[in-house]
This record gives sequence, C-alpha cells and structure tokens, in this order.
Amino acid sequence: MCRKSQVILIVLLLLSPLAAGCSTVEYYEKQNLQDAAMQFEGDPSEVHFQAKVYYSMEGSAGGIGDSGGGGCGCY
Amino acid sequence: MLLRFLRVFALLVIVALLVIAAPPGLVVAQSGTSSPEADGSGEPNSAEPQAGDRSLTTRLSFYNNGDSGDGNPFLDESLTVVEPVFIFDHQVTDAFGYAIDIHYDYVSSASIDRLSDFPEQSGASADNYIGTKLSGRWNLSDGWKAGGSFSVSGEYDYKSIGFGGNISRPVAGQDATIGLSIHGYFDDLSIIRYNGEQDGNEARTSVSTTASWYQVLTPDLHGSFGVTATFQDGFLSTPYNAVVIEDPLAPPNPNLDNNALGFETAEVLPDARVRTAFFGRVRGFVSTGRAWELGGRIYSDDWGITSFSFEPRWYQTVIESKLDAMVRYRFYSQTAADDYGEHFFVPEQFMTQDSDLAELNSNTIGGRLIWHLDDGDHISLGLDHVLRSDGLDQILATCSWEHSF
Repeated sequence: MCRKSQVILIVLLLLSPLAAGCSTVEYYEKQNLQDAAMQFEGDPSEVHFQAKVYYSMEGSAGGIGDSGGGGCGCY
Repeated sequence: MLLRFLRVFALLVIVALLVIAAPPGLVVAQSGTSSPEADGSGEPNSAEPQAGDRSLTTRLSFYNNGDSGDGNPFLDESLTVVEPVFIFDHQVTDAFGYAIDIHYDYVSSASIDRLSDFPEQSGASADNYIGTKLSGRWNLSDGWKAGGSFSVSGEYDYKSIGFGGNISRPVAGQDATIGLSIHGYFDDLSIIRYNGEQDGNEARTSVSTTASWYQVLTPDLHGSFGVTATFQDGFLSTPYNAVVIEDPLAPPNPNLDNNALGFETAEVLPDARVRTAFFGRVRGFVSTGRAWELGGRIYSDDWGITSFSFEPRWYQTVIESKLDAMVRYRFYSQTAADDYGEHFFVPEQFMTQDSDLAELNSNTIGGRLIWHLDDGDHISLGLDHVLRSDGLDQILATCSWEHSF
C-alpha cells in the first residue's frame, strides 16, 4: 500500500467514530460522560510546555495547544 | 505553496461557515454534559467556572536531553530547560473571564561550551526566554463561545507578538460542538550565527488555523477531532545551526566533536513552509473513576516531513476525591526533511543537519498524579521519559499547584 493510501486509511480510521454521532444521546444518558475521569483536561501551562518541547524537538507541529508553529525561538 | 495553504484555509473556512451559518433552529444548548471551553477546541471542561472564581496556577517544568555521541555526529546537542509558569485566571461574570499567563524559560544548551571559541555565539548558549499572554473568553447566547488573546515574548535574539481568536458553537441534534480558531505570530530575529557572526535582522510570520469538532458518540464515549493548517513565511532556519562540509584533506577542526575534518557553514532552509496536521482523540468510560483514551495525529508539510503519533492513556481515580492518576504511552515517527543530510561534502542550496529534522522514532512513557486538597486546591506531578531512535533521550517533569480563591 502506498504512503498516500496509508495516510488516507489512518484519517478515515480516526474519523470513523464520528459515525456514531449520527444518533443523539439523550441528556439523561450522559451521566457517565460527566465522570471526573472523562473530562478532557485543559491545563494551559502543561499544554504550553508539552507543545514547546514536542515542537522544538520534533519536525512536526499542530494538534497540541493553540499553535501550529511560531511564537517561540525553537520552531 | 501559498496556493496550497490558501486552498486548505479556504476549505476550513467553508466548513466553519457551513456550520456557523446553519439555520437558528438547528442551534441548541447542550444539556447533561459540561460546556465546552471557549478555546476553539470544542472540548468540554470538567467544571464551568462561576462568576467570581479566581485561581492562581504555579508550575515548574524541567526538560533534559543528554548527548552521548548520538544525533548530529559533529555537535553536542545536550539541552536543559527549566520553566516556571504563573497563570492567573478570573471569571469576572457568567459571561466573561480572562487569564494572564507569564512564562519564563532558563535554557542551558551544549553550545555554551563553544563560547570559549565564539564569545558572541547566539542565544542558544544559555538563554532566557520570557513570555506573557492575556486572553479573554466570552459566553455568548445559544451556547456560542468566543475568545481572544494577545501575547508578547522575547529572548536574547528573538522577539514575538502573537494574536489569537476562536469561536465555538453547539450543533443541534448532534451532541457536538464545532470550533474554529486562528493564531498568528509575528517574529523578529537577530541573526547570530554559530560562530557569533551577526547577520542583521529577519522576520518570520506564522499563521495557524484550526477547525475542531467535539462529539458525544455514545453514553460512554466522546471525542474531539480537528485539523490545523499552518503557513510560515520568512527566516525559518535556526540562526545558530551549522552544517559541516566534510573534507578529507582539511586539517582536524577543533570546533567539531572528535576533531572532524571539515568546516562549518550556516544552515539554509526554505523561507516558506506549509504544515497540515489531522488529530483526534476519543475517551471511553469504564466505570466510575476509570476511563481510557486513544489519541493520534497525522502530520505533513512541504519540507518533506510526514509524521504519525499514537497515544493511548488510562485515567484512574486512586483515592476518591483525593488522588487521580493518569498513565500514557506515545509512539511518534517522522520521515526526514528533504534537505536533511547526515553528511555533506559540498555546499547545497538548502541543507541542514538538525537531528530534529531527521528520520526518527520515539517512544514516550509517562504519567501524572493529581492530589485534590480539602480547600479545592490541586497539586499535580507529571513525569515523561522519551526514548528516541537517535539516542537523544529526554526527560520531562512538571510540578504544579493550582490555588483557588
């Protein structure tokens, strides 16, 4: 399988859970989604450090924090 | 290149407009789950702040990578970063809140060793970075949220001004929230080469736009997905990076590891870059206080780098209302940039020996512990160990305290 096909396949796999969103979950069914372990964390200071380290030590950027590059001498 | 970025940007705007411009009847406020953050990500926050809530977060982060002859064979690439961070957050009213971030980095790099040879060597040789960001967030009607930010940062040889804005809204009947954000950084660099030679000032502009989608998938599963497109223009090389042109007939060069035969010249990279990243994560409920998460990202740019990361996590409440834990693993793989070479024998139009632009894989193992104190404060400890295929292994550690008042 060529690399382009692999990328398309992985994108489709990543997006496939969205298909489940076609059916609405009623509000009284969302109790488990409110569990503390289910909350997407948003600690900005940790995200800032993680993004800076990953972006400066790897060749890629985006998907962590609010920047896909720039704003730091390390990019 | 610019056309490619504009196409991606136009696609993102069209997608956002299609949702944002949907008939009002399709817009409903979510109920039964937390509201999304006003950061454009669309992801829910654990607790919606109440009017009057204030908090001060203090974090100390530490990063270190050694170099035992790995990576670039001609240079020592060991690096240590210590970063204290202070964040003050105030929810002024139900509809408006703001935050002020102050970041300071102390950077100690191996290139400081070269100061004895090149006293004017750049800010990479023991550098101080300071940055601050002011951000505001607004809860609008019908579940719409908006935010904006302004940031300033500077280093020895670098100044940056940043702007950001985001908007998100729920999507009716879909248990979803869509968000769109845009951030721009306008940087000014003093070009100080590897040998201390000063080469004037150069500008760099980076504009990123992200479209994101948060989705409740089942009563036990939700996720967040997005795409970021970035366009960078200007001076994109690292000023102090050098490339070694090897010459078997040259005398040993005392400035290079192992007194290699050859001479150094400045790294040269293209002055524009278009970067695209698709990312997503889903989290599933197992039982009270236990959840799993799968995350990933696919990245591609026109410098020839494609990368893939995969990150499973496990969340566990260890002591109810007292201690939470998270463990994670991250696999990362990237291809080399077109202009990367481990060895050069003649100067080329574009050339780099930066190990971070080489082909590499890494495996990260880490986790975090969060203590919840009786007064609502939190103490968090995080530790990650990165094992890289080029031997430049890394340690990341963080400790933070969030005080609410």
